[in-house]
Amino acid sequence: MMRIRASIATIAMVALVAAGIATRGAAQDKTLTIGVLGPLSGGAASYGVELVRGAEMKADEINKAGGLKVGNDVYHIKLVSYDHKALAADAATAANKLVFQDKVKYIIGNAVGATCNAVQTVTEPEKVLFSFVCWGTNNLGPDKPHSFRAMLSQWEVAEPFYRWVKEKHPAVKRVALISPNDTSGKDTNTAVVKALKGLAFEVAADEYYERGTKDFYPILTKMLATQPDMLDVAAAPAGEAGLILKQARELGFKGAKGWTAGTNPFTIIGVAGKDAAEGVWSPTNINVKSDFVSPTVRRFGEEYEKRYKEVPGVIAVANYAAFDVFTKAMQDARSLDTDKVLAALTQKPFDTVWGKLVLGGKETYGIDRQFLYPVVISEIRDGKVVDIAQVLPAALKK
Amino acid sequence: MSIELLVQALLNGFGLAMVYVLVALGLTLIFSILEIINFAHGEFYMLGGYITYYAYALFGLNYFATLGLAILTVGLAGVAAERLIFHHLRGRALNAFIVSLGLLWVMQAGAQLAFGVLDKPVPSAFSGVVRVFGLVMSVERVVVTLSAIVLIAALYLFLRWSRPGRAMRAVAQDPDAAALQGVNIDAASALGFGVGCALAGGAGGLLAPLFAVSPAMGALPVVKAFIIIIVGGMGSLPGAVLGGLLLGGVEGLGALFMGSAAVNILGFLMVIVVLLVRPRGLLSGA
Amino acid sequence: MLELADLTVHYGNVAAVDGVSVTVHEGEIVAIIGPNGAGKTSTLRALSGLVRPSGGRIVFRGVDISRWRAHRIVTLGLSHAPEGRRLFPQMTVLENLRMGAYRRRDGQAIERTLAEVLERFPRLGERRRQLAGTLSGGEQQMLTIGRALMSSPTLLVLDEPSFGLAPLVVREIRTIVESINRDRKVAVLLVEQNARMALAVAARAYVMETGRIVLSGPAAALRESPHVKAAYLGG
Repeated sequence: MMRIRASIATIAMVALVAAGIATRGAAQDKTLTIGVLGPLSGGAASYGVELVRGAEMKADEINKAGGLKVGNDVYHIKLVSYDHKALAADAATAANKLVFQDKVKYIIGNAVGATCNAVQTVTEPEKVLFSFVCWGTNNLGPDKPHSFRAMLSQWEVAEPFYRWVKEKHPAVKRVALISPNDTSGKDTNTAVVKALKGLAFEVAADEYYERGTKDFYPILTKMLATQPDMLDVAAAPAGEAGLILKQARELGFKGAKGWTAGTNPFTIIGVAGKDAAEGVWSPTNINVKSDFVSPTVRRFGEEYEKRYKEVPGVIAVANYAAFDVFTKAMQDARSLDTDKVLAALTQKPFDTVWGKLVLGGKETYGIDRQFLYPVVISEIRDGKVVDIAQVLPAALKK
Repeated sequence: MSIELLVQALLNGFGLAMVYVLVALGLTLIFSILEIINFAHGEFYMLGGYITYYAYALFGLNYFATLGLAILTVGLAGVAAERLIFHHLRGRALNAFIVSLGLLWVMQAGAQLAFGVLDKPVPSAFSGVVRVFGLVMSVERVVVTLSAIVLIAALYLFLRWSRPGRAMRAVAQDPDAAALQGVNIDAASALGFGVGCALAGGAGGLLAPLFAVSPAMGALPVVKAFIIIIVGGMGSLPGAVLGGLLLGGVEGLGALFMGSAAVNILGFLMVIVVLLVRPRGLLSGA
Repeated sequence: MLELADLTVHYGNVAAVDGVSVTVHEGEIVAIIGPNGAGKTSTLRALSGLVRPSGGRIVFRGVDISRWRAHRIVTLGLSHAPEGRRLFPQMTVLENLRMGAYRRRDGQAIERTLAEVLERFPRLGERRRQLAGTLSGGEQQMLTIGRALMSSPTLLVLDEPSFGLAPLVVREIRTIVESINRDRKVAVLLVEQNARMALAVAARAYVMETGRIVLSGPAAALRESPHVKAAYLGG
């Protein structure tokens, strides 16, 4: 009995240590610790994995080049990442750990709206600079000056996307939406509904499901009864979006398919099956191999694929860019003090993997904390993600 | 609202209920024989899912052969878990409960290390849909439901007529009396735990192509299984089938009328009502 | 055929059975009488392997079974009908009887034993498809004995067969015990609080009090003992 308890404890220890080693690098004399949060397990795990990898790529680049020179000091960058399983409570715990235990002043990377709100209850009062790819509308605002969104959100993407749908596919008139039942899902549907109404589409269904749902037959039966021309799996993460599309096809849906928040459409092909995934449009993705992205993004994609044997989605690129912007701002500020870095951040555009990166969003959020770059619309064709158009967010047109 | 839509909603609900009944039967079998509530039951389901992923999706083994392999392998894993861990905790329900929670955690963490955290898709074994009177169900779901019914029937026959099946029932009803008739309690317990886990493994194998596999996939079916057991009555095979049909029906109709976000509450509401009206479940027995 | 020598059984630090020696010869009916809590049932549980004795020896048909577990002891021909009937309530009468033959593999012989048992207990035959849990107390006791006979034992151990039964049923049980002993040459070890019945059936008897044997001898002699008369036969 004791022996068995001991062996379970040993396995647990090994698991813990192994998990620890995976995310911590070696320490040098001067170390700058930067936190990364995200769902690293569960249905949204792909988001967290891309966040960590994007940060890892930039951090390794800096470390290999001899470290980050800030003023007269050179820092070795060390990443600490925690899994919050897309749960707000776990995210608050993880943020507390990062800020108060690991003494982190920069958290670069987080996903899933509700968890961002939880993290912000820690980062804003502590003046911790926080960059994320969460889609929650209220994640940006004048009351949250230390928070940045590194990826285009539904507010930047929905309008140009559906303008394109209206132009190129005039047969689509009735659109049905489905998202997870939480902040990011609701914010996404709200933004898409606003764009749809502005463009004179009909909203056939505006539905929510609980995260972790596997069987979508019940909710789809109800949605498809409204006879939509297009089904948008708006803010659903890859695993669930794939299941929805697969089961919608089984229930006889043959209309157009969209994934407004489809950050990496390639990931749904496996789950949905080739036929059900065929033709899905996504305005949030970028295909790092297409002609619609800059050569720098293409190069990033090659490096990433070489290292992780997977093709990166937009989240990896976005977090890589955010890491780049933040570290460049530290150099400009010649300080690690977050007030000074914040001032440097908002002063001028930065050259990044995206090209010139603009901070905007004041008209939507009341403060310029949104990274802006061109929207690329992709389509899944014959089991491959193909970019088919580039459109600009309204704010970037100016 | 058309009749067709109502019937389709019910069909949706019943569609996968039998698979969750399999999970529930495993749990209730283990509880009846060992008086252990195995919180790691969903992790045996997960194991069945991964065996399906590797054997069927990657290695290309026949679908039904894979299902057999999942049932057998997870069953053996269950026997091992009983002999190595739970055997030493007999009669100490609280300790067994805590250790099963630990096992859940170890198996999930182990799966994350061994299989990775991302969902792994398993391709459908059957394509196409069945259409009758405007009702739709994919061939895949029909096959899965029929397979689950076959497994439930096989379990019934095994418990009812086979020698080890009778021994397990005897132990569930009175372990001392069973020992006095010559039943080896240790063997019956290990076998009972194994069969219980095998059912979970079979369920995991059945749902893997529908839902993809991931280390955390065991949580959902176990919650459903607990609802089914509490509603149907602990230790009752017909009770579990009834509980499964009720849960499926309530969930199917609930999604139609209340939106799927409210559906999860309905299952628990049903549990509360049953506990108030019939605390031992609708059909309780051994 | 059975010899308990200096048997002790402990539950924690408490000795429930404290140096008990009992002998049963081939084909004999032996009774152990005594008050509630004297350790009679613990003695039988040790004998049939449900609890492990803390000391002493149990030899059955020349084999030391002190450390054997219950499911093996049955195979030697020792069958224990436990206190409180202990049937399988959710199984039918027939299923309960078949459980009694669990260790036997001789299909035809099992059917013969089953026929014999049903002949001896016609009422069980009438109720063969009924769940054991729904039988009356007397029927349950008969099923318990019937189930114990299904293993074709050479020693039948009966724990309180008359407990909770009406006098008429007790008499019926007594007749059955005697006939089993007579017809099948089965030795019987009978544990009873009902001393009058036990001493009427048994050839020899032991009186057990607080874990020890305090008196033993031929049943006829014990019936005349002033201590037994005063304590167990109501003066």
